[in-house]
Amino acid sequence: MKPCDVLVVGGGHAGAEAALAAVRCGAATTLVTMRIASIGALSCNPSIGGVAKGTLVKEIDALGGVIAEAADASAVQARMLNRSRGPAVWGPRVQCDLRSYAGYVRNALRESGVTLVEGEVVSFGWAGDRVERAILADGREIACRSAVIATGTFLGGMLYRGRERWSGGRTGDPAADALSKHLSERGFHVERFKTGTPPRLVAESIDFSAMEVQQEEGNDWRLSSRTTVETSRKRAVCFTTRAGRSVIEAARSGLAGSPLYSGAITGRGPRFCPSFEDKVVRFPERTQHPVFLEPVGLDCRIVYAGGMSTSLSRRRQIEMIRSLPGCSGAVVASWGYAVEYGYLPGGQIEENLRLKAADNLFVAGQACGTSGYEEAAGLGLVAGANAAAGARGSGSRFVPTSEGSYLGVMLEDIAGADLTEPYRLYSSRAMNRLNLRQDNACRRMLPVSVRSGLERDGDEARLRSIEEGAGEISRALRTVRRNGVLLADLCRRTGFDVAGLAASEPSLSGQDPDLVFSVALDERYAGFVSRAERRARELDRLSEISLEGVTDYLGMEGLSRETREALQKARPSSLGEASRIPGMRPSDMECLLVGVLRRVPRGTSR
Amino acid sequence: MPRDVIAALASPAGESAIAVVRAGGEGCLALVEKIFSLEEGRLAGMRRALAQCPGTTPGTEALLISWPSGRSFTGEEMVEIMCPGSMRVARGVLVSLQKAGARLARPGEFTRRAFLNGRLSALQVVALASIWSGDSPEDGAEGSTGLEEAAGSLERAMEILHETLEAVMEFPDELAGEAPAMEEVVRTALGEADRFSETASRSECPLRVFIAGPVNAGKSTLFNILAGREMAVVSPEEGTTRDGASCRTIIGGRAVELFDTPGRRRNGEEAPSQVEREAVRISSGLIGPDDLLLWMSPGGRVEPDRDLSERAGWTIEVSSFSDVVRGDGLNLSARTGEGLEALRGAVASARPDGLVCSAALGIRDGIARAAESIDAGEFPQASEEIAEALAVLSSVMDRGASIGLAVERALARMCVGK
Repeated sequence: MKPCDVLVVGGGHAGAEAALAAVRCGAATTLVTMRIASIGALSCNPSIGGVAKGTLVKEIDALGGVIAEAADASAVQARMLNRSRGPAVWGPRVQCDLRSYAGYVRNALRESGVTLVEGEVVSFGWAGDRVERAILADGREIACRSAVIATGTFLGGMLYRGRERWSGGRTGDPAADALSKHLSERGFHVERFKTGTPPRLVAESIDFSAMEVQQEEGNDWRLSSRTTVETSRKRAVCFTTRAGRSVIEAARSGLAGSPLYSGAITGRGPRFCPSFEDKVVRFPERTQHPVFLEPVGLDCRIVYAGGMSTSLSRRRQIEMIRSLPGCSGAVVASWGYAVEYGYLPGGQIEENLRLKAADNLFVAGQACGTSGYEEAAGLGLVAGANAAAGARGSGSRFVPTSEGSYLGVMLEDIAGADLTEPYRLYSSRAMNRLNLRQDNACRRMLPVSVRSGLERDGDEARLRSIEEGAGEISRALRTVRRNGVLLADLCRRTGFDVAGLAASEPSLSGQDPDLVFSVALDERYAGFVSRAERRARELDRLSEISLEGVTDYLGMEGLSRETREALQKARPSSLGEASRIPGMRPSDMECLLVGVLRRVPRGTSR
Repeated sequence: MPRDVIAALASPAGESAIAVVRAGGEGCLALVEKIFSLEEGRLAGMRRALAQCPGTTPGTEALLISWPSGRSFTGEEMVEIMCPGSMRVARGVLVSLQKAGARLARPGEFTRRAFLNGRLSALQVVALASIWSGDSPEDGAEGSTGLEEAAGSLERAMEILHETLEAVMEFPDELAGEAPAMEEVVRTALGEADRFSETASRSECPLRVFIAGPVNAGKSTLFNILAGREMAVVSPEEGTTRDGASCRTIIGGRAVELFDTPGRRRNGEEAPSQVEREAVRISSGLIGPDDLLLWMSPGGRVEPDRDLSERAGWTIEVSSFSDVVRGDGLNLSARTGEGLEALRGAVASARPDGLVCSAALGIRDGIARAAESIDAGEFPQASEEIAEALAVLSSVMDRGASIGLAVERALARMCVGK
């Protein structure tokens, strides 16, 4: 088959962004997927974005990715989460029409010139530590200069429901067992995680009148900076209800046959996204749990039962569903199940997502332990850009910084990490969350995009105009006074209406109100940000301090058990190295520093 | 990490049956062996030895007790030298130690080393300080556990606030459980901060305040007012106060040890009596860099004594008799009561409190700012404040406080998931 520069295994959110990024970097790219029709599938919940995740989506958009545009084009409901809790944690999220989302991504791939191949990659052909070609199940071979593994839950995937258990990557799709075996044989370390999905119901079989309606909230923004805000678009209505005692009882009586509690599943699942039976076991005192009913499309009559993720048997599932208010006659369109899958733990991954033991093999998404469409898309983009650089043979690495982006935060956390559950991005994982906002994602990432050659046509001009505008606004904030007070100082006052500044300040008329808001927020948080930076610099100075000879972290005071265990395992050689252990916060570093300074003099023992 | 050898007189200065000199630090055993002419290694291990004191006639022997590193209370090599009770002998030992390379310990330095070497926690340091300062050991012990307990409750209250904030931010619509009510959580944290700061101010060393100034400035009058009882003799006669009174009292909500001092004669004028001169000399010698000097003169006419204000950490200038004559400093009149409140406030805020007290106040301010931020719809800022306050608490408490990812802790407590 036609040789390529970059070969991507998988057509999910990681694979699609990887292929698109590689093409933007000028690489001849081939994407191999088991089913072209499944490219861009939202396999679980129908939403894109959220707190931190929505900001990440905007970063990906600024770097030329497709996820934000696809979500805007297929949006059926938009919500800005945390609107009342501070702009730094605003979380733009849109619910999408499944089919139109996937169609948009497929189209984008086709139009970009990515070669789409249907087939299963079973192994790679190697020359030393270099991947030379991918070998497909039907015997075809594709020569490549570098490759990206973006297999989602397919690597050795195993599905569970009650006592049922079958090999698969997703319901209806076969698993990539051969590839998983091949990677293990090559000496890569493969571990297992677990995740799950709820049943889908037929809309006509539900009586929504008994439920609370969840309407769209505000429609005045888009995820993509390339999409314009038009006012008319079709909306979907979502509903919320509660799973009460009878649902909980049904789940509890099904526990004996649960693969999770019978020990059939050994991989760890995400605590932030537990199955219903998990919630029942872990929070036995709760008498009810919320359930979200979200249509998965405008013309599609399937409803996603958010909050009801389960791997109990079909009998228990229907018992649980029919005990929900308004669901006594509910018909299940597809059953919930759990999936256990292989992933490549971060210890063997570089920050540019290259597998350390291979010269030109990269990994992204669930295959390296993350969870979520947005995380997958972000890592896919990074893996694709680096695979393209690898294919060119240029030594350049595309690794956005963790100070400047959630994307960088994620890379730092994933590489070298020892995850205990699938990795989800939280805003609090960022050292300087106040800087990494959804409103300034473009200002932060467009320059990175242009520098790295990931930009799309017109991005450079767009960047110039944004920087020009931001410069003018910033100058105005630092020179114009209102009642004798500098605008920048006003912005820092608790309770000052930053959002209303553009409309109320004559010197800023003519400027883009969104940009005014964003630049004014920079001023608002400047004090906090500089404090965080000062702390980071102080720690930088201390990073040289040697930790050679420190053997007992478990007995060190002031650190959490998790941190102590992580240190004990990693045995960093210096404070600087310790600071790069995922989850280490400045405060942990301070405790560690005290611990080190307090060490009993060398050569003595208690 | 190796630390230099320090030495200090560990018993009160003055004549006593036995004087104790303490030396500690890397190499101190060898150093003591040398000046006492003991064979090398004589003091290695936990040993006792009798040896003639340097520079004395035979028969003047000291008892030496040594601890190897890791076994002494500071965690470092240490020797205690018990010499026959004469300051001359003890001073001789100290001088020899210094000549051999040791330096005089700063106040509290042994304890500081014990703390840095992990032998004492900050709270134990505070408890020791309150024992040394004359409170009964029982009080001290109680103070320590009380403080420990208050700190623990405060820590937990702040952690819950932090976790609640993070959970609410990260899972705005997935927090299946009703997250604890924010106002309630904030109120609890504020209450615990108050309790902690009260406990801390009770346990920690009081601020020492010296009232000084020219004769007949009204120092003893002020002393009695601040002490809340008549302890010092007041008379219009110059030089009434010789042995200055001292007492423990509360000024502006803060524990204070108050000292009255004999008045200074005017420029160059010699005090008429030897006793008075000696009293001035002794009282001045007490003032140190952690102390507050209240320099008082009628109408603020006399500049603070240079020597005193340089010794003291802080100086407040008071213009007394303000009902008769006004001055630049804090105008105070014992007759009308003018300036008394201002003075109490100034004393209370003059010096930063001790380690734990000032931390407690900072923590309370942090929680209050967080509460403001929450009201203003700025949860991330509130979270920053709490994280900072928790870091302060964990650094003074020296125990298992951890910031980590509050959201991960929240996951253990709260039911999340869509």
